[in-house]
Amino acid sequence: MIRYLYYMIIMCMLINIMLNVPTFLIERRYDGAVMGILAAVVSGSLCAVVFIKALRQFPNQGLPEIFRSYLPPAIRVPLLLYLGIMWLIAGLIVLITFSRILQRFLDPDIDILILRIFLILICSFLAAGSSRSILYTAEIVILLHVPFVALLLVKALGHEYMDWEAVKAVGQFVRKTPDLEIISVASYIFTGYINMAVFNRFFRKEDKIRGLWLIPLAGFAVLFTTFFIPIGYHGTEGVASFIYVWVSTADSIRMEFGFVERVIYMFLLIYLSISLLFITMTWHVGAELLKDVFSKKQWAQEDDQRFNWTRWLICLLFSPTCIVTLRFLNEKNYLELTDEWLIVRYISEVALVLIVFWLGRKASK
Amino acid sequence: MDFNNTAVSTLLQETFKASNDFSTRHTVKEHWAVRYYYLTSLCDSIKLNESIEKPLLSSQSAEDFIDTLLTLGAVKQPDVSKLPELIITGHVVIQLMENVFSLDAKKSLNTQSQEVKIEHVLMGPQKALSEDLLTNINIIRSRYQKHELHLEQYVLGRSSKTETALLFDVHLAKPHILDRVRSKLLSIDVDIVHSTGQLEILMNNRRISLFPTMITTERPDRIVLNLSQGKVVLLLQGSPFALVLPAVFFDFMSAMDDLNQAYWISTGLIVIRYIALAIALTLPALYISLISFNPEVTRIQLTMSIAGSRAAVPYPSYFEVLFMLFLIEALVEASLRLPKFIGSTATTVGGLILGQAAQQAGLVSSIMIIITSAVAISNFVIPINTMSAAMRIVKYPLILLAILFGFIGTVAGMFFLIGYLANMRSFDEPYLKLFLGERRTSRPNKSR
Repeated sequence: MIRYLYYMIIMCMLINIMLNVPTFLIERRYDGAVMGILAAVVSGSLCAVVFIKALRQFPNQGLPEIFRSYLPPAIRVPLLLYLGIMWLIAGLIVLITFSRILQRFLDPDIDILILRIFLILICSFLAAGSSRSILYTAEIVILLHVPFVALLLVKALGHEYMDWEAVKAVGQFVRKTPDLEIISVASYIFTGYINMAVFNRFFRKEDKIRGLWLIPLAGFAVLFTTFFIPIGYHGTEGVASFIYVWVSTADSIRMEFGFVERVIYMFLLIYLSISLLFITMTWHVGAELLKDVFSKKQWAQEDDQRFNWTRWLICLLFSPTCIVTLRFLNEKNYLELTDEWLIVRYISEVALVLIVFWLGRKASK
Repeated sequence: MDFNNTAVSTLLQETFKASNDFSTRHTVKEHWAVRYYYLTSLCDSIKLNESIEKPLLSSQSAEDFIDTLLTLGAVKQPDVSKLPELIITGHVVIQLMENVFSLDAKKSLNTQSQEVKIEHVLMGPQKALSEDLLTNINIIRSRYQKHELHLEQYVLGRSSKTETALLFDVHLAKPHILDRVRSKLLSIDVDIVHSTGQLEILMNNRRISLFPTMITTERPDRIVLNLSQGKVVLLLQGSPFALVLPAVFFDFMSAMDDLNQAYWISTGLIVIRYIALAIALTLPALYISLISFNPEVTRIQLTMSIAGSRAAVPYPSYFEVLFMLFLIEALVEASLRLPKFIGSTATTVGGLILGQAAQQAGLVSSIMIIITSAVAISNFVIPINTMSAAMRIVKYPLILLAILFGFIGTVAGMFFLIGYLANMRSFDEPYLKLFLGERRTSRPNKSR
């Protein structure tokens, strides 16, 4: 089972592009982004290891069950409500950003509302399915797409347009101290483990966790590429003029002998699958946390049904309300809001890790 | 000579009054008389001769004859009301003084195992199952010689009374799956059960379904392989197919030839099979997306040649696709129904002449002809027929999504398909899951 943990982590590492992480970091490239990346590697992997180790105290239990047995209802209910909504928002941000990217770069004629409704229907239906099925889907989608992403990165790093001087120039700002915002945005890369909040239900006591040391290494590699490749392509100054900097970077790469010559199309279609997977998984986790707030009975292994109406309704009802609020926000507001969300997310994540760590200590005594 | 219970005689005569194949024989020896009833159409005259007439002539007394009958497998029947039932199922009812016996004398037809018709292999067993249940069990037992192979018998269908055998390896099969299969078999309540496909639908309990969750196979070697992997096999009297369950997606993509060939050959063939599956599913949808939404995706030379071949076509790409796909589906369906001798004519007319003419008339592009045939060929690569039929249907929703959303629709549709299949279960086993960790029963283990 333990391999599924790594699929969740890889998924979140890949999805950072859709959550404005590179754009934000590149904006602050002279104000501590480089140091921020290093700090985020430490903080992110520390959170991951602490959270995963703490959850080992609770085999076959998810966050709702743990809270149920250790916290009073007055704390449990608002906490679960808050966490559930944070998870739903994560999926929604990706949905909104990515549908906008698709409209802009792939299909300018498409009605974005209809596209969003289409994607919401697909993801909410799959999010209503059983938790195990989502892990199986994740495995297939990640294994199908990671080779292409790797090819793309190798291609990008080895390309003649990649200007290593620009990378070195930005790298020299490593001594600038980062602020909390930079660390919180950069540490998003490591957040995949947090989905264990629900999926820990299927991790038995016997499952050995191996290879945790890979997390900081992979995270550092991902952050390095996500931050430096655009700088290498567009130059230290030019890179700041893009909103969706990675899409533009992918458009700068060409496959001379490829069936599909412009890498951007490969990039967009790969990220379409990964984004759909991310939305499905986060909505599933969010809906599962919210569902537990309303249910009287504790979750049991056999409750993992193939289709759950409550989960489906939660996803379906939640997403349109947010899409309506989008009418009052322009793209710029919205991107700023995404950054705010990333910061709030970091603080709540650290708090959640500490709570689970504390509960784990309590349980082991 | 008088019979004490004439009730038997009158009951049977009354019940089978209208059946001309009902026959009554009456033989009188010195001190005793025998009367026996049977349906001539169901009973084997050689068996009758061997097990009743010959012993009758050689027997000295009634007791002697009864002993012989019991040795030959006759059963004493105390309950008169059950007799018509026995006669219907091919038994002979023998009346001897106060006693009534029944003896199975059923004539078995189609006991020869047939040539493989659907799942051909290049190098491997060439005989399939027969239409006789006992012969089939015989074939399986002689290929799987373990006493752990258990057999349970059921009778399905109120009118057809189809004998059904449930076979499994008691050490390997999972008990909860067996319990579910048993309870489902007992809950089946229909008039007639004829085929394994029908049984599959009855056991699914779902009115609407698309993907098969049990394998229908005619190959004894596949059955035996699956038994050794802990699966459960259902056989029906009168059907040359067996039902194997639970079955996951990968089972439908495996051919028996995979076991007969060297590792890299079979791995290569499996990879080809999955590529073919991807082509059969997505090629029409990708064509529509490319022509009608994003012609700039492929490199310019390719786009130009596609556009050039489409220059004469007067309508949008999806008409072209739907038109050609309808023709090819109709052709497949027609060549299935036609007698063998006309079948090849249909394919020649349909495939060669029509395709060529449609392209020259400017109704479809020549690229579309290639795509249509690639889809049709790729579809037939899927080894198990039920899965190949399901995949034939699945490409149409993908085409619809491509018409609406182009590449986005196609990729999202594929994602949905993966998610949907992963969400399916075949008797609690995950349907689509990588790295199943199945028992490798016919290839060398890594350690050796």
